[in-house]
Amino acid sequence: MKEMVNEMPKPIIEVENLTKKYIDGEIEKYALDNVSLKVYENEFLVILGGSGSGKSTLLNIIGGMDNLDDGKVIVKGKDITKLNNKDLTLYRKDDIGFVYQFYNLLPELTVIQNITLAPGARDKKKAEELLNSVGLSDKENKYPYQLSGGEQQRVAIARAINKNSNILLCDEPTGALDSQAGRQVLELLEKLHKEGKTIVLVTHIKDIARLADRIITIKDSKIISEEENKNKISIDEVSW
Amino acid sequence: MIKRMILPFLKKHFGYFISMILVSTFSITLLSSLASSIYDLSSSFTRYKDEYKTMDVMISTNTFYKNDLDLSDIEGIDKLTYRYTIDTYLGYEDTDDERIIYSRIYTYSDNDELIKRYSYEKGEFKEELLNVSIAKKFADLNGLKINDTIHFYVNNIAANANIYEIVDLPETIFVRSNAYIWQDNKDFGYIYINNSELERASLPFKNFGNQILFKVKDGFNKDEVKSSVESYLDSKGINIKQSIKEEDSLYDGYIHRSIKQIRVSAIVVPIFFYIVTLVVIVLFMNQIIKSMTKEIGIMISIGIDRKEIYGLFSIFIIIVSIISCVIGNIVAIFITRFMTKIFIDTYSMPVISRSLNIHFVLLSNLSLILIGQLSCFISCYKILKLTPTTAMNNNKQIVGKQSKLALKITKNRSVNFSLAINSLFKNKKRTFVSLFSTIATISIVLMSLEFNHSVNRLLEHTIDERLPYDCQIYSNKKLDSSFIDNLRNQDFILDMDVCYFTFLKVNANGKESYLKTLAAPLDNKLLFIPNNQNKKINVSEEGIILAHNDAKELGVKAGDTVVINDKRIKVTDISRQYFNMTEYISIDQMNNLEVDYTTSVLINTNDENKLLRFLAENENGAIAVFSSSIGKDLSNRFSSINIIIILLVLFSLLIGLSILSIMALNQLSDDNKNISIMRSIGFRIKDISIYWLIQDLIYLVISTIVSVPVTLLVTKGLLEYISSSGQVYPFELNIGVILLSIFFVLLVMLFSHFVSIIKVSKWNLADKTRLRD
Repeated sequence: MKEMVNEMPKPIIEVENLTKKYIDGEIEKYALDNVSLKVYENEFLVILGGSGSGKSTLLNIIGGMDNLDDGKVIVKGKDITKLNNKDLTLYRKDDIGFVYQFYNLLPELTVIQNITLAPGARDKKKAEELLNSVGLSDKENKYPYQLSGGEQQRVAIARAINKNSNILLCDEPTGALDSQAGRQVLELLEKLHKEGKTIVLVTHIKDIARLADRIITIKDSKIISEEENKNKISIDEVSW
Repeated sequence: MIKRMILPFLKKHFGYFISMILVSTFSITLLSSLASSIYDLSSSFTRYKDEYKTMDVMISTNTFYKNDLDLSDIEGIDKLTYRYTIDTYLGYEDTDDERIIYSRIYTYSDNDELIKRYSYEKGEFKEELLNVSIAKKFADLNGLKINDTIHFYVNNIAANANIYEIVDLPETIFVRSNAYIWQDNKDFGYIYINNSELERASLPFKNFGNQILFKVKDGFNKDEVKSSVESYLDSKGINIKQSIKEEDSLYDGYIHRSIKQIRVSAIVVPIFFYIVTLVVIVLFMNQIIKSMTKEIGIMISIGIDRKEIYGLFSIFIIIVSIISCVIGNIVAIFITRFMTKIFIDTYSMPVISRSLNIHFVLLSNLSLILIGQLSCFISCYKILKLTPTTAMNNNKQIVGKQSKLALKITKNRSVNFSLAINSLFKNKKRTFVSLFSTIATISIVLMSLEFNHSVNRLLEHTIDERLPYDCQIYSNKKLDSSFIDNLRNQDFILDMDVCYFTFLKVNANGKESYLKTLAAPLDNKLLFIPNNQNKKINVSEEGIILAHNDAKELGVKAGDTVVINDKRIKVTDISRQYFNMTEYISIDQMNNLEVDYTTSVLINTNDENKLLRFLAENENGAIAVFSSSIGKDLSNRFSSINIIIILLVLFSLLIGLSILSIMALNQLSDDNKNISIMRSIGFRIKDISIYWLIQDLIYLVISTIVSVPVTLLVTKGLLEYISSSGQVYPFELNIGVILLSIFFVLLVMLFSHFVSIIKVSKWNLADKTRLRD
C-alpha cells in the first residue's frame, strides 16, 4: 500500500472526515461517519457496500448533489463544500459526470438531445462521435422509450462524458440491467478508463468490485477496508 | 379519520388552499362590493328622487301672475306648486377680489310637497339681508359657509344676501344652465329663496311664477292631464317654453344612463370574473383529488369508508369557502363604503344607504359553496368507484410515448422548445387552466384599459379638440350690436367669434329630431369642427354639418338632404362628436331658415372674472360657460368609472397571479424529475427558466390570439350599449392598450414562477434524482 501511494499520482478527489447525519423517527443516525478517502487520477475505484451502507450518499456528496454535516471534499484542488449554489452548478457542469442507476434520461428528448442537454455540451458533431463510441450511432433520433435499458444507460454515459471533465461517478450503473446489458455497460466503462477517465463506481456486487484498481468497502456508514485489487477479473467472469 | 387527516391534507395542498382562498376572496369582494355600490347608487337615486322630487310634470313658461291661474278645476292634479326661477350672476369675496359666478335662483315655500330640500345645516337668520339657501357641493367647492355674504346681480342691480342654509335637492345633482351643457358645480350655483323671505324683503318675485309643477292622481293618465294644463295655459295666453314629464326629463334620462354605464363595469365584469373563479375552483379540486388517486386507493384498501374519504375533500372545500366568504365580505364592506362615497360625491347627493347588498352577498357566497361542493362530488365520484388496486397503480408521471402532436411540433426543434411543448402535453388539465386563466386575465385587463382609453379619448376629444376657446356665451336673446362692440373692445378679450344658437327641428327618412345648432361666421377663428379623421370642417353656405350620432339616428350621410322648417338643406359633412352634439350652419343659412335664435359668442379671454363681471353688470341674461368648467365636470363624472377600472385591473392581475402561481408549482411537481436531472448535470436556474419562459410565451401567444379579438368585439359592443345620443363612448383600436395589457399579463406570468424558482434552488438533488419513473 505504501509503495502504491509513493508511485500513485496526486489525488484528484480527497474526502476528509466526512460526516452526514439524518433523522430516523426521533433518532439521529449517521449516513456517513467520519469517512475519509482519496481517489487518484486515472484510477478505477469501486466503493462496495450493501443497501443502506452509505455508499450512494458518499457518491452524491462528491457529485455535489447532497450536503454534509462535517468534513471536506476537495476535487481537483477545489473544496466543493465551500462552494455557493452557483459555483456548485458549474462544478456539476464542468468537473464531474454522473451516471445513475435508473439512467435519468429526459423522456421528451431524443438520444442526441439528451447527450447535448447540458449547457456547454451542445456540439452536435462531438455528440455524434460519442454516440458512435458507445455503439449507438444508429439511435440518434430515437426516444428513450424506444431503447433497451442497456442502451439507455449507454446514452446516459455518453451524456456524462460529453464535457471536459475526466471524472466519472457511477451509482450502481448496472443495477437496473440484465446480465448482457450490464456487461455492455461495464465494457464501456473499462474502455473509458483505458482512455484516461477516472472512474468511481458504487456497487453492492462483489464481482463488479473485482474489476477495479482499488476497492473501498463501506459498512454501516464507515469505511471498513481499503485495498488494492490484486485479483482483477475480466468482465466475462462477473457473475450476476 | 377526517379530524386526523384534515391538517396534513391542508399542509400538503397548502399552495392550492391559499390560492383558492385568494381567488375566491378577490372575486367575492369584487362582486359583492361593486354590485352593492351600484345597487346602492341606483336605489339612492330612486329613493332620493321619490322622497325629494315627487312631481310628475314640470312646465316652464313666461312669467305669470300666480293669482291669475286656477288649476283646481283640472281633473287629475293631486298636488301643485308654482315657482319662479331666474338665471343670474352671483358674487362673493374671494381673497382680494370678488368672484363672479353664474347661478340659478328658485323660489319655494316651506309647505312645498313636490320638491323637498335636504337640509344639511342652518345658520343665523339676518334681518338686514336677504336670507337664502345654497346647494352643498357648490358651497363646498367655493369655500362658502353658513352666514357668509353673497351678492346678486338681478336685472343689473346688485343685492346682498346671507347664506342661511346649506341644502341639496335632486335637481342640483346635475348642473345644467340654459346653455344645455353640463358644467362643474364650482362654476354654477343653485340658490333657493323662501317666498316668505321674498315677502319680507318686499321683492316682487313672490307673486310671480314661471314654472308649474304638479303630481298626477293615481288612475289618471299623465299625458292627458298634462295636455289639459297646457290647454288651460294656452287659453290664458301663457306661453309654454317647455312641458315635460319627469320620467322623460334629461335629469331622469341622465341618471339612468349614468347608472347603466357604471352597471356594466360594476356588475357585468365582476360577474364574468366570478364565473372564471368558479371554473378555476372546479379545476383545482379536480387536480387535487386526481393527484391523490393512489392515496385514496391505499385508504380504501386498509378499510376506510369511501364516505369518510369524500368527507375529507368536502370539508376542505367548505373551509376554503368559509374563509373566503368571511374575508371577502369584510373587505367588501370597506370597499362598498368607499365606492358609494365616490359615487355620492360625484353626484352630490346626501347618503341614503351605504351597505353590502344582501342579495349579492348571498349570490356570491352561496354559489361559491355550492359550486365547490359540486366540483368535489364530480371529481370524487369516478375515483371513489375505482378498486383499490387500480387506484394504487395510478401513475402520476407520464413517461414513455409522447403524443403524436407533440412529436410533430418538436421535431428538429431546440431542447428548450421541446421541453416546453412536452410539458404542456404532459398535463393537459394544467395546461387548460393556465391557458384559461391567461385568456381571462388578458380579457379583463384589456377590457378595463379599453374602457379607460375610451373615457380618456372622449375627454380629450371634447375638451382639447372641440373646445379650443376659453368660453362660450349663451344669451337668452339676440344681443344688440352695441353690446357686442363694447364686449369686443374690452381689454380682457383676446379673440371673439359672434355666433347664433338655436334648436332646429330636422326631418329625414320619416324621423324627426330636435338638434342643438350653432350658426357661425364663415371666417370663424375659434371653432373646431372635426371630421372622422379629426381634421377641421369649415362651415359653408352649401348646407348643414351634422354630428355623426345625430346623422345616424336620422339615417342620413354626407350628400343627403334633410328638411328643416319645410326647407330642404343638404348635409355637407358629418362631424365626429362624442359629447355635446352640435350641428353647424352658416349665419346666412340660419337667417334663411326663418327660425328663432339667440346670440352665442365664442371668446378667448385673459381674465375670466373680468368677463363675468362685465356680463353681470351689462347683460346678466347672458351666461358664460367656460371650457375648463365643462372639462372639470366631465372628468369628475368619470372619476368613479376610472376607480372601478383600476380596481378591476388590479384584481384581475392578482387573481391571474394566484392561479398561474399554483399552476407553476403544479408544473414543478409534474416536471420535478426532469428539472432535477437538468440541475444535476449543470443547468443553472436561469437555464431552466428559459423553458418556462418559452412556455409562458406560448400561453401568451395563444391567449392573445384567442382573447384579444373577442375582447375588443365585446368591448365595442359594451361601449355602444352604454353610449347614448348625447354621449358616445368611442371605440378606437389602440395598439398601445393591447400591448400594455399583454405586457401586464406577461409580468404576472414571469412573477408566477418566483415561488418555483425558490423551491428549485432549495431542492436536494440526491433525493430527486433517485425518484424512479
